[in-house]
Amino acid sequence: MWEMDYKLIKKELSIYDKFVFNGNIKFHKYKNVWLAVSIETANWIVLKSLFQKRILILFINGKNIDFVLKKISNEKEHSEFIELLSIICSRNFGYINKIKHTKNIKKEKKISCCLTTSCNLRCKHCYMSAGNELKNELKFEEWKNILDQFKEENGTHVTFTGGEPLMKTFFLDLVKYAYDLGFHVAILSNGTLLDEYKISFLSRYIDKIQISIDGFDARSNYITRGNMDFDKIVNAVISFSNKGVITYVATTFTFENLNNKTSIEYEKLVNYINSKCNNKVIFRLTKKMLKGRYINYSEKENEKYNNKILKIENKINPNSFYINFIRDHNKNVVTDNCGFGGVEILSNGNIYFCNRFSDLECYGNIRKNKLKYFIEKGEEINKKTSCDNIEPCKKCDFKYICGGGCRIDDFNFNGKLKNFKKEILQTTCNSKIKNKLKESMIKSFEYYYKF
Amino acid sequence: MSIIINFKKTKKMKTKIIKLEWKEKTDINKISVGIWLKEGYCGSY
Repeated sequence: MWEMDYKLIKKELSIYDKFVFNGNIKFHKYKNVWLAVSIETANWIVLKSLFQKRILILFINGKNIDFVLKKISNEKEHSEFIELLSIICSRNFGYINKIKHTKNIKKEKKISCCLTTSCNLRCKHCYMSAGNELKNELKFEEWKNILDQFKEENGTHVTFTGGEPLMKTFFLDLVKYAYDLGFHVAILSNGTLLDEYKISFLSRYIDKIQISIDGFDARSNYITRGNMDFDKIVNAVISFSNKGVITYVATTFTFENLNNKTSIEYEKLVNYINSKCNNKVIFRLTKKMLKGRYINYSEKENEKYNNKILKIENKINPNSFYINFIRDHNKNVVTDNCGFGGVEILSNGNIYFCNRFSDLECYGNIRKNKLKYFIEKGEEINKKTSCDNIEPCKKCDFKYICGGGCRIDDFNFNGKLKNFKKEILQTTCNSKIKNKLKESMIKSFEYYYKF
Repeated sequence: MSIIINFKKTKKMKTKIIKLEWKEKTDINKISVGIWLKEGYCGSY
């Protein structure tokens, strides 16, 4: 009998079928299994025996199923053979008698608009130290003009953030304007300025919202955010979710509100919110504290912090890492960069290629150049820092599965790429990281699929 | 794994169709750990 949380997949193959593999297949023995990695399509499967590896090589060499069947001499081999066919089909590792294009990168074209650095809160950890607005922030007409330009560049996704974007009086109108242009709209908000009217209005025009709740109850949230609107924010989360908006709660704990009870209390919050929602809300926990207004954790402190956060994740779902890993790696979709090069517009019009603004050099201002100029510049930088062009990633079989890591934290140019002349190096990769990646690939595969 | 065709039967009767079955997880995860500066995950491993 099948367990309730699995779905059954059925497929039929003809014995005359052949598989077509679009990427170069490389094998990596790890502990007691073989990882078969399709490099160019960022796909992988896990083989449990040398026999399965040999059969896969026959398929790679163009032999059809019938040819391989004739090589099988006993029930055990037959069983492993059928399992291998299922494994290949489950991940679309090979296609039947047809060729798909090889480098399938996500097609979304995004910009992120930081509408203001103004915020009604003064969160201790805020990496933007948001509070007061910048001099000469872009006006409504200027933002509309930017969106018009983005439409001309075939843009697809717009994120509005801040500061707190609801501090801008034109915010609701701008969201509708973006929607009317056909963009998928996402917003990031602290939730404190929302009311029923604004929630109903925004729900019509946005795909996604991420609301920050930095604790498990009013007091815990107050410690970090200095605000007592906890219940109001929780209700806003529930309202958005029930109005069909994909809703995320982003939580950044600090050592001040992390204690022995945090896992249990946070789980209660997760369960409470989801019990009130028809669509599940996804909770996003920050795993690494960036330098913020009053907080600057050392590397060692961040390691300790990360371990505490993983305990919370583990309490809520021990298998969460593996589910996320396999779902974040869509079949045959390549990740060749962390997203560095994406256009981020700061409220004064300054352009950055990641929104860790304080870690980056500004590349110009939208009032001086067209958006098209910055999109092209960003694409150039994205390509320059892609796994294809950086050491040691470009020679790594796992490059499109890994993506290379954060371009600010893990590279020798620390995100400041303007006029950077040196060869770009990934500085943190080592055998420990590679083995962790292999473990994730194997365990997530074994958790997700049952053959 | 469920084997639909019988090994001997395959050999003798020359079955031309192989039926496969496997299972995939369906549960939607409620929690995710990462760096969330954007509306999606920032960084890849």
